[in-house]
Amino acid sequence: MICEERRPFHPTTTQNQSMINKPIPPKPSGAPPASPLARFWLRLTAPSSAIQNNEHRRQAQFLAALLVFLLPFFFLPETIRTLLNGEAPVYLGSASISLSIAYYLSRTRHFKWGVVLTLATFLLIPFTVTLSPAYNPDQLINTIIWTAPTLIMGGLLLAFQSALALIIANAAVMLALPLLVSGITYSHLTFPLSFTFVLSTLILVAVKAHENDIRFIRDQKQALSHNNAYLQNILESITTPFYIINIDDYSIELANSAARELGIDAYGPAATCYKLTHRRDTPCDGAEHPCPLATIRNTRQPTTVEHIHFNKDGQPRTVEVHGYPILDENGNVKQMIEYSIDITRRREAEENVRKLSRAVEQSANAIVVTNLNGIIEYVNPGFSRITGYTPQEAIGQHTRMLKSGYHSQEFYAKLWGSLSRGEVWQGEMVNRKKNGEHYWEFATMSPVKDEQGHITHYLAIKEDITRQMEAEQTIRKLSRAVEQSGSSIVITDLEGTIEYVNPAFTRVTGYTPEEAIGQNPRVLKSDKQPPELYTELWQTITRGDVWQGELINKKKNGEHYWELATISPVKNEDGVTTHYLAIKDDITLRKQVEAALEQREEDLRTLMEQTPVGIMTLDKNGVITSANPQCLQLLGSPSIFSTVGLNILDLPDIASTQLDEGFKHVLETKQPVDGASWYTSLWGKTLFLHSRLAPHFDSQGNLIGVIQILEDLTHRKQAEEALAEAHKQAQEASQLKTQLLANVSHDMRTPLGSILGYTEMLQAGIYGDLSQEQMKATTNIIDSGSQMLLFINDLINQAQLDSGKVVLNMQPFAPASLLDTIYATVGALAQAKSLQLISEVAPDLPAMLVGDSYWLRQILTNLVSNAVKFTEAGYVKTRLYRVNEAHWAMEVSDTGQGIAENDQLYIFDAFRQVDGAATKKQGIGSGLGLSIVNQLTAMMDGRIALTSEEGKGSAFTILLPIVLKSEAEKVIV
Amino acid sequence: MATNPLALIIEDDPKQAEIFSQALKKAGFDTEIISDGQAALERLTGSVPALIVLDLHLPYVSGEDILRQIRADERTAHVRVMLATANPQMAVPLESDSDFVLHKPVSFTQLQILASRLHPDNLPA
Repeated sequence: MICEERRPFHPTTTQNQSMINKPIPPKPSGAPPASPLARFWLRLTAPSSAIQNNEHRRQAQFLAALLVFLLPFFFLPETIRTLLNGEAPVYLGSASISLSIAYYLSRTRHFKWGVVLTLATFLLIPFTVTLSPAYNPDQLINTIIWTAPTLIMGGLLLAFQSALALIIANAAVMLALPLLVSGITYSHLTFPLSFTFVLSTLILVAVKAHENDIRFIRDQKQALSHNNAYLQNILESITTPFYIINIDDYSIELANSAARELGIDAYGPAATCYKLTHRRDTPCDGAEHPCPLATIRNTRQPTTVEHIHFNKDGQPRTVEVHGYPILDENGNVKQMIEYSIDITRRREAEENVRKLSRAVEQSANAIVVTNLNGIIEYVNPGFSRITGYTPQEAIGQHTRMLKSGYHSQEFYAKLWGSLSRGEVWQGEMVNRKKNGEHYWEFATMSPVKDEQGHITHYLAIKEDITRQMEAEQTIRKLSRAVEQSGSSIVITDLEGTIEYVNPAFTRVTGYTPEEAIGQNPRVLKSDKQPPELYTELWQTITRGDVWQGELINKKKNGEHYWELATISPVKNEDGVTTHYLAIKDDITLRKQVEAALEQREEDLRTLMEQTPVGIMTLDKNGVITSANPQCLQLLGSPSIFSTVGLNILDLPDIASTQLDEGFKHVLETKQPVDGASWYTSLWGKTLFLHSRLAPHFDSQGNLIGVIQILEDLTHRKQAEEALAEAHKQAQEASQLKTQLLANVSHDMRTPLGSILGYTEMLQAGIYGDLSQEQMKATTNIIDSGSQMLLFINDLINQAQLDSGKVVLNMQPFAPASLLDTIYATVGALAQAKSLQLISEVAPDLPAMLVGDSYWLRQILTNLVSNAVKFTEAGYVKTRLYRVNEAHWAMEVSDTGQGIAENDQLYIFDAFRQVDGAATKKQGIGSGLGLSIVNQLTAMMDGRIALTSEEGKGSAFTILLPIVLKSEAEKVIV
Repeated sequence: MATNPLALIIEDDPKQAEIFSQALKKAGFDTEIISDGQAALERLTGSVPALIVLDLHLPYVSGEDILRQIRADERTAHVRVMLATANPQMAVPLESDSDFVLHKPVSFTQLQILASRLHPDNLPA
């Protein structure tokens, strides 16, 4: 039964304000007890204020009211009446006293004792009748009936147990009657007891039902009040002002503590919402101050408006007012819940934010907010203006998208290090714009912390300082340029006093800056140029114009040098000349080069004019752009003027296909082309010209045309032709000579053959036996004839080799057959000298080889006959053998005198013999033999080797490639 | 003497022919001299000789043609032929078709030695 004194909360009832905190005076509930009678009655019956329980109060009041009624109207007058009648009012008096006491008790907190006393009095009063001697027991039921009101009263006043106790007490008294009162028997009790039992049962049933009812109601109330309390607590605890307004008269019907604190602390018709919140006398209206109540009345929908409310102290507040309609069961708007949120602070904050935001938005600087990972979360328009990235492009990107690559990794590591430590970083950096351009910025980057001091974001404010940096760099560049310039730079004041010189000046003149500054430039004057030059110079620059010219100046060491000087006035913003600036280049070298070039040009010109060859230059189309005099002469052109501009390809005689092709070839390949042909000049002269077409490049190596060099080879050509003719004739003569030689040899050999043949026949005894002298004579004939034959053979062979007509006739042959001829040729000679001729064919030598057997025979014949010639005693050995897979050899060795080492070098030369005297002793010799061998061996791709020791003999070896028949066929096929 | 094999000498120079003839006789042959090409071709239709000494330079029909004819006719294809020439280079292509090439002037002794080698008695069967 907590909060029992509070009324249940129900917004639709008007008593509810009482449950709101004490400061609100409870609104009167219904009509106050107006009549004095009623007030008197209340005074008589009101229970003790000590009684808290409502039920108890009701019981106490009921008891008091009952007794107030019974005592003055029955018991007290009856007692007095009986007393006046002379009766002893024992029972009435006792009852009056006991009930008076009960009344008293009903007005105290011990009202229950009052109830007990009253009920006991009423219970016992009927039984007092039975004590009368005149009492008739048959009337007992009439007496007992009087206990019925008491039992009913007990049922009304008492709880179930108490009522049961009362009934039991009543029954106990009734059952005690036969014992206490004589004449009364238990049979008299039968009917009264039955009556009492029935009545008691009904009463108990009623009491029980009533008690259940009461408990149910009590539980309901308890739950309701619990809810109420809960809601109230919530409402009260809400810090937002919350109140209910009557829809009809704008009066406040309910307000929570927050609302009360703000002045909504009154009720009733006078306490209107506009009065309390706006300090107005009329409801709000108009667009500026729309009344939410009026809106809700019309729309029956919740509404939100912004109002200015005033505090108790008249302080205005900006509030956001929310209104909600409360509808009755018919759906009509009865009340409006209104709660207002103070948004003054928020408005101020918003205004601040707006202000800051405007500042940020309108800032000329780029402002960037990133999260802790460097991902961009905000950029201002300044950023977009500087970088070219729109916010959409930038947000979500990492700031490294701006990285230019100009700074090192350490630079960025340091930057992020500072930021993550919570420090502010400031510095200049180069970033890259969207279009790839680089720019300088001065950036201040700071961590943004929340209330707890945790870094939540990074803020960067960046100023584009590209222009400053560029300006700075430009100045630095300019200053470096001046310092490092190869040209001498001198700055003087208006009087010409030197204020600055650069290192190049020192380098050129030898004057250090310390020596030069403060001096006048005339210290450099050489007096090699007329004073008018200087006068003109000064007039020009004092006029404000730029002077340029070449000066001969003098160095500190007295040396002269040429310089090209540009002297200009330096003007300030107002156009007033403040200084003079001289930029001077040492052109001594250039002057020298120029002179050298001039000389060279002169040389070239002379060369061009004097050279016997014609030289002309052609452009890419073949148009003559220049020609030297010899060229004009060759072309037969009367003058340079009629030649330059002609197209060489159009000239009738020169424009042969050959020239055309040559010209194109030079342009395509950039390689010179030579050619020679007869041609008829413009004068009609026939010339044989050698023409060289050479590519013509400019100094950069670009092909600009063709240079044609013409050489008159007419005389040479004529000489050549004459020579060719002579050669032809000589060849014919040579051929004749060869033919002659062949004929001669045939004609000589044939008779020689007969001589030798017949002599041999004589010797052989065909024509009869010969005497010893005849035999010796025939031997001499054969010896001489043989030598002569060898000599003729040598001559013919050499003649053939000389004429270059020897062509090897490669045919298969048997190497062994080579040996036969030798014997035929030199056999007689060897026999005459009693020399042994030995021959040997190695078995591994192929039976058939391919080669020119005729010339191989000549080689062998020459070697063997040579050996026979120079060997006096012993043998001459011929050996044919295989050297290796690819070579075979013919070896001729003898036991002759040998060849001295020195002579071995020369023996293969034509017409040379080792020793004239010795040769004579050996008989005749052409000296051609070894030379022929040498030449033939070379022709056969062979090699010749000689091993010889003086006095012991010589061995000639001819090494030759092996060509087999099958191989030869292969080659031929 | 009828038992000696026949050597046919085709040579227009009578002195040379005489030398050939004497050398061949010395080597054991009977000899018959024919002095021009035409006559030689006619003679070759007759009895087959054991050896032919053929001069390359002949009137009417060259020795080369005669050699070709000798090798073409199956009757004479096997006959041993010695070529004689004053211009041995001309004989080089014919070497394989001949048994020997004699370089003029031909030595009597040499011919005698060579001819004896080619005598049927001295040749392997």
